Amino acid sequence: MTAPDDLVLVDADSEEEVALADLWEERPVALIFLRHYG
Amino acid sequence: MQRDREKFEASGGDLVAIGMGTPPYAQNFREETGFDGRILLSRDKAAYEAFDLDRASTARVFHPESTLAGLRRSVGLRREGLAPVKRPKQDWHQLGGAFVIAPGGEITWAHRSRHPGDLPDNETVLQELRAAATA
Repeated sequence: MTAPDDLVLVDADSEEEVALADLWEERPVALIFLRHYG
Repeated sequence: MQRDREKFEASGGDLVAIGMGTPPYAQNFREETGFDGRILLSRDKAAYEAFDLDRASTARVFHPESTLAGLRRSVGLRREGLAPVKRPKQDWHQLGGAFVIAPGGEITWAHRSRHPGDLPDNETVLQELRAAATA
């Protein structure tokens, strides 16, 4: 199964947009989807 | 996650948390949990939908197994002086999950929570991340 490669999220610190697919371009990544946090 | 940050850093892969709130809420999350890793936000929850993560009914949110797991987690964090219990401000029906994705985009491991207390332990995530890094 292939991960969705068209998602754009926002970095919580820089508030810049991040293409999710960039995260696994060079190294594997563990994505942890949080429930609500506050 | 924060407890095992050094292990994650040595795994050969990266760890990224995804939340559905705003940057200030993410900052609160950092302060309350001590997590200092990368956090990305999917405010419209499009990422949750794209990864096929479920929204639980109220009955499932308050499932006894879930409630017990939540209490254990809260007690543990409070012992460390972290994470006071408070009312949620985001979609508290939305469940989480965890995925390991290899270069190229293959999902090599997936865990979709069936209820709020259904979370993978760090060791399982680490094992899958190491496996993806050495494949």
